[in-house]
Amino acid sequence: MIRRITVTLAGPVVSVLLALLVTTLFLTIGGYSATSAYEVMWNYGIEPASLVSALNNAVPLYLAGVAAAFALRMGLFNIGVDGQYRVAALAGAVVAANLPLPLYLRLPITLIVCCVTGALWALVPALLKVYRGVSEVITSILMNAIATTVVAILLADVFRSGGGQNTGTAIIGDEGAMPVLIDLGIGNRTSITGFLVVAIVVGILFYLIQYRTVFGFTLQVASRSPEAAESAGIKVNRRIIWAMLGSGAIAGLVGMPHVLSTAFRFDGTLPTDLMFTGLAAALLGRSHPIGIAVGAFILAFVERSSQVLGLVQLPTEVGSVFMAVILLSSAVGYWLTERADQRVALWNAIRRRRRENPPPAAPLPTGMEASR
Amino acid sequence: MTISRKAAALGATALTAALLLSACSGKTATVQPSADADQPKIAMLYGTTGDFSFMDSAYKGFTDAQSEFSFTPLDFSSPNTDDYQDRLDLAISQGAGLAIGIGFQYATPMEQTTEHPDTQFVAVDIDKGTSIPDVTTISFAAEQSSYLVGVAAALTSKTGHIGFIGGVDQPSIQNFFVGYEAGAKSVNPSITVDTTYLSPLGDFTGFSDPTKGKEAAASMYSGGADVIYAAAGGSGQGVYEQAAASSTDAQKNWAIGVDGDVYNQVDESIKPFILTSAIKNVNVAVEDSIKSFLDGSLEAGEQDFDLSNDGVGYSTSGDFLDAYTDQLEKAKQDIIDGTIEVPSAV
Repeated sequence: MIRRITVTLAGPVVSVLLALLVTTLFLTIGGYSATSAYEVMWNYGIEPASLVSALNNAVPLYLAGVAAAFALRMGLFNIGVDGQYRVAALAGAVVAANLPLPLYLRLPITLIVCCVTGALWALVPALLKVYRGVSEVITSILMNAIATTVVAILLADVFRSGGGQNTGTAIIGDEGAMPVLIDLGIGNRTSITGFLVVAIVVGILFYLIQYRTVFGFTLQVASRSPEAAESAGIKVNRRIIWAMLGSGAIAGLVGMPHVLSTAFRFDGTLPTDLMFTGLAAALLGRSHPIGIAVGAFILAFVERSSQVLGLVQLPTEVGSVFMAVILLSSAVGYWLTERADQRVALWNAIRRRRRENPPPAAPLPTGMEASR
Repeated sequence: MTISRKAAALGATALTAALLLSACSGKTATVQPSADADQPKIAMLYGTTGDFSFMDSAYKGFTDAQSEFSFTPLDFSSPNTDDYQDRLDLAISQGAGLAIGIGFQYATPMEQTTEHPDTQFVAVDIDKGTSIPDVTTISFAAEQSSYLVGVAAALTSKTGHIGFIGGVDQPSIQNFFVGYEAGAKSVNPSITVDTTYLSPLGDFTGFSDPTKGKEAAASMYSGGADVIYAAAGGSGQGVYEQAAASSTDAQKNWAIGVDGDVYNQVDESIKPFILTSAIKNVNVAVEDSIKSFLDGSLEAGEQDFDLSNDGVGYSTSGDFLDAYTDQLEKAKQDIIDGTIEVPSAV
């Protein structure tokens, strides 16, 4: 048990340290002082307002990460989270602003509409993969481009409300917006969004479905060996469709924290790069619901604190570099920790055997063991 | 008992290296707030420079003010389109006395941030008629300057066919078009005005893709247009290049720049093809705000930058418009007097 936790934790830690190293190199070669950069970032990052902001910003990243992970566990790469959440956010914004129902009915219906829209947008790549054998990576990227145009047309010609330079849907009033979970009341915007609860529920559902049901198990089997799964009676094609639907449904929620608790409408300020950062969180957290949460918070923390770099005349892109390197190093970090873990297991096995049976006259050639 | 030793060792190495590297720093980044604690701090919140127009102009105003007045500048640039709120928070938490937000996207965050007793807000390029409590909002009548360059385009065109290339299909850019079209039609009611936008609503790539601008311009010039007005941020560079590249002895093609005086920004080889630029004096707005903040006269409320106070205008660099000065100045005066009502898209 301790060992499993150590290994799980060592991965992200090594990844972050590697990212820190590369960013430091980048800064030092660029002729900047990395210490002062990290110092101002840290000091700004641990201010209460920053921590609240990082927590709130981590929520959409977490949802995007879980959405990606849901498909990843079936061996599918849902790169279409981006398009799915933008279309779903537009649908959700329209429903939340117009549905004539009280909040306790309107909010759940809004979220369900978002999930359904996201799932339907993800269904297209799933069907194309099952029936035509087209890679879901290609089709979901194309669906992202279609989403951009569809959203633009719908927003400009159908749902646009109000004049002026900013274009958005109708403003969502209190009876449609997500209530605040806790207001810390220490200045502007120090309230924690109710979407934190949504994220936790999604995380628990993800865990239960993927780790504690037969369905989740069959997904794993189908992704490891489709042929074996098929011969064991698991309908792989149906699993592909369900995995993409699930991933799309979660993806449908990604844009909603912004719509229902920041902008209170769908407009040009909806973030468009949540998918890649969310994917980084999923990789960093190794597709485990708790790991993704840690990863999402780290990334949101870095994003927020790197904004202060303009103060020390450093490019704010340092934060982006750091996150890009985390993506790369999370792969390397896991490979290293896995190798290390295997080595340790091997040493232990050898030591145990030596303790149990005293060393024979001619010791085993080490090459045999190492070849494990 | 089972620590992954290799991982630990590697981590330790990485950490040591990171610490070592950061210890031997190159030029030390100056943490400005400690440099001059008594000076007022002024923050400018903007996107990224390099668009040859809006942002560059704002940045110019900020740097000009730094050389002229004495204050501690806080430079908050960000390529993101979703963290306006964060940047405003940052300005407040760093104790800025004045925060200048460049772009209409700052209207909402500044409206929602109600507690800012020690920080004055200026929002630049906000819709005319927007009133936010405790915020100075500056609007530009971009349609007026666009009207004038439309007049210039129609007077200069030999083919009776001109074009407009917008960055993103959104109201703020459509506003340039309606003014431009109205100006051109006031000279020649039967003139053809082609129009295209480089990216749809919500997709901001159209402001930073010179290749797209070049392609769009190529197809317009070959379709018969001989003057193109580019209101496309950094993508305009492609339009300017294409004006030069597609000109022949038989037909000279022109481009019209936007926001800044493009004639002064492009290469020598392209200068002869820049007819004029529709000027939006963002730099003046930034510099004036800083000046009035420092002498204590900055007040909340609306400020309109239009033709009447030279907040917008057209450039005459290159002297290509000398023959039409009278018509242009008359149109300008008519707009100021209200004889000409310029349509607006916002």
